[in-house]
Amino acid sequence: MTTHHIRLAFDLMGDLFPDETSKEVASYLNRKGPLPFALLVRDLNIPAVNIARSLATLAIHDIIECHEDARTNSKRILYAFNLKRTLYILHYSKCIHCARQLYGFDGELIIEELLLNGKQRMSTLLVTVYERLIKAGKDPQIHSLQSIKESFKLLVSAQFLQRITINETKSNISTVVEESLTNLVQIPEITQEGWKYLLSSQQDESNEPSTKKFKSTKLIFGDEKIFWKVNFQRFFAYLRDQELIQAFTNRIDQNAGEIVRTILRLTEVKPSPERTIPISFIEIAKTMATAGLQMNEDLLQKYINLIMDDVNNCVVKVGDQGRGTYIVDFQKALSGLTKAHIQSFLRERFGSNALRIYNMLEERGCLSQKQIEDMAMINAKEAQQYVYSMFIDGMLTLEELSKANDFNPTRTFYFFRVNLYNGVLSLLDHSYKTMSNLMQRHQFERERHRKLIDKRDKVDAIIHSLREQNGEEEQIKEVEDILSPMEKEQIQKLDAAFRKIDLAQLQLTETILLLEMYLSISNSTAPVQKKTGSKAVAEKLLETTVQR
Amino acid sequence: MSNTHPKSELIVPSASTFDPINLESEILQLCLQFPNGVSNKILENSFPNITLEQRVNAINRLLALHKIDLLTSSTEPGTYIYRIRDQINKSNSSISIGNEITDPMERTVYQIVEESGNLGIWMRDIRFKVKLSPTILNKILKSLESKKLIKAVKSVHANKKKVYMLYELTPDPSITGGTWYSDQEFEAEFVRILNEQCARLLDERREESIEKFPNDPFLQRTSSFMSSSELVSVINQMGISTVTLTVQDIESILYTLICDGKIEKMIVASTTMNANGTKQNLYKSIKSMIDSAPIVRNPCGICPIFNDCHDEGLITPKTCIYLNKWLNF
Repeated sequence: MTTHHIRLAFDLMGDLFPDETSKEVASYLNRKGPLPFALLVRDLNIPAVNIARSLATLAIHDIIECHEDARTNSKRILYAFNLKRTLYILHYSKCIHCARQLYGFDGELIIEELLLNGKQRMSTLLVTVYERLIKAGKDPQIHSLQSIKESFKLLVSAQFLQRITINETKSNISTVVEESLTNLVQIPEITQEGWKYLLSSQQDESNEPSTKKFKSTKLIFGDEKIFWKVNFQRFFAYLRDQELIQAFTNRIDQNAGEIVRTILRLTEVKPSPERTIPISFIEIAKTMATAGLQMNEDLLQKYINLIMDDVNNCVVKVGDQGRGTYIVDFQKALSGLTKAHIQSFLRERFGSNALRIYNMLEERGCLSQKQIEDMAMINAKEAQQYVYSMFIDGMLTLEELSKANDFNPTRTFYFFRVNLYNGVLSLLDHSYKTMSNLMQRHQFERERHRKLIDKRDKVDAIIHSLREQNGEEEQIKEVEDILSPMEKEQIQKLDAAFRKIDLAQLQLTETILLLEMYLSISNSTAPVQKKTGSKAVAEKLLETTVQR
Repeated sequence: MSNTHPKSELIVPSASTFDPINLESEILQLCLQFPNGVSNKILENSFPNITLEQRVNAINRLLALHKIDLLTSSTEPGTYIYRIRDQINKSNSSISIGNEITDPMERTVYQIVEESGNLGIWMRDIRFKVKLSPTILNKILKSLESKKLIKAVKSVHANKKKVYMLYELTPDPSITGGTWYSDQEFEAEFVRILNEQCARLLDERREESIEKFPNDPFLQRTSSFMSSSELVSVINQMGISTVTLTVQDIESILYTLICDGKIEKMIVASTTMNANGTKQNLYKSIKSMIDSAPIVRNPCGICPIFNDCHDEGLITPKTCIYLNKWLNF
């Protein structure tokens, strides 16, 4: 957790919850740790109602977690800020995009609604999604409540949605229970009465919001206690798989990418964070055939042999049953992908020679300055510069090895070493700050050109309404001319810039996601920096000779 | 020394009458019999009839004629031994030049330099051996250099460290740094060109093999490998380098390419016997897993002043010139 990390989290929160209270409450909790409600009211100069409201909202989004105070055994409830969950906001757009690619418009809107509202009942969700679809001018023949429900079912069975029930046995706190696997895929049956009501409101096709009606007439839909939320881990796994497929496509070719996609799709249902379930060659071949890919088994076997040798050997053969059984080792895959990102970063930021030194250090373990200069085949002075600038950026670690324990520089060896974990931390921090910077710039430009943007919005609104009323073309043109050519040009420029920033942000989330997943899955830690004494010297010398 | 007695008995009668020329040849004979050197004691025993003065005269003459060398004894400190000049070295051209040196100090220094071979010797080490003052030694070295008998070579390891060796010797690779150095300067440009050429050759090979076997990934892969010896012969034919490159040279270049992430290496048991034995190193160019990390596609990723960038102040994302340029403002 670094300054940039926290900063980005609050920037993101500010975007999603524009009211100042939420941000203030969250940042106070972040500084002070878990606090009861009373203390929050006392310390913050905000009306208790507002605090309660924002706590409730944030709790629905899981950004704030509430639990009973375990220490005092009292019935106090503590509220804690969840920084990690806050950063998931970064990936919202990716998740929505994912849902759209996989499940079309319905899926997209279901996920979007859930992301905006945290947790929802299926019944309310279906209605809102339906209304939004109708509002967006979709054909009600294709997008009915029934079809939305089908999409919902698909999302649930693919575990993109997570089912939770409210447990109200305890008196003062309703705990949220995340259900076991068997229950997870069960969709609540909506009562006949409720379903009829929903259908009737559909047939009305009235554009007026029907949610108001729900509130007045208390209907029972049969899913009052069952809520749904987005299963982020599943989405992340999907996004990670996409990266992996892309990597194989880049390394070998399109076909190899398709084979990996098939393997991952076959194993996606029971995901464990570290590896997939074993999958046999026969199954792969069968699925490939049904997917309509022309490939005979001989060729497939050749491809699989190649795949096993690539991307950090992340596809592993575990047995011979079924003509070869394979698993995908995500730990290897992620570290391979992470390395690729770090290498690309180093190449662009410090130059290809720096990358050479980095890879050399990674391969050889640890080297002294002198050894690096000799082996890298670049000028000694340049090599020094590269090493030091990488060291400053935290990509390399320095090991000091002193003959005596006074660490006298003349009697100390200095070894540089690559530690992937540290490098990832440093790159992640860099990414967070970059993301913050881009958001800041976006915000700044919007503020600066506020007047212009407002004007454009107004003009657009007028034109839109004129079109709806079948206004004259001349009239529309007249309205369009409110904006001077200069302004139009500027707006175009601004739009292009915003698009660029958005795209950069979206791409950056890929890196952040990969690096975070790597950190969560890897078991290495930061290395010991200093060692001293003859024993350490001897160990080091042994290590270097073994590596030679 | 006990075994010297019978021989010395033999020589005694012939030296009964004093003749300076005769004595000199006798001494030389004696020296030939003892290639490790003759001490004063042996001489005294061999020529009991000759006075010290006569002996000294004879030895001095022999020394002046460079027939024998005067050395300090290693077994008995403080005494001297006389040794016949090396017969083998006599035929060597360097010695014939060295023989022209008349100054004894120069001669000693020359000998020390000669002993060091093509590794050269550091001036300080010469000083320790001859125990001369630095100024005199400098003068001697200068004069030897001006006679083109020895030369000073800068070592690549330490810029200021000069080593001396005989003029006509080629310095050892450990001093000049091998193929990649010229005039003690690392030839980064040369290495870069070779690096690029190797990468290009391997790239071409891969593309060829993809064209050749469009439907067989395995053959695509195997036929895109090139062995290091194959690369060496191609590169030597191209005439990029004025010197002929060895397999080791190219392999060190290929190692940098591996570190650049452009190629990969595979070691296989060779079918044909080559110098390396049964192992053969094969290389193949590879594609990167990702095109580029998203972070470097925007200016912040490669910003040189990234660490100085803050919310407020002179360097801030709001007014950043790099971002301005990127966004076309």
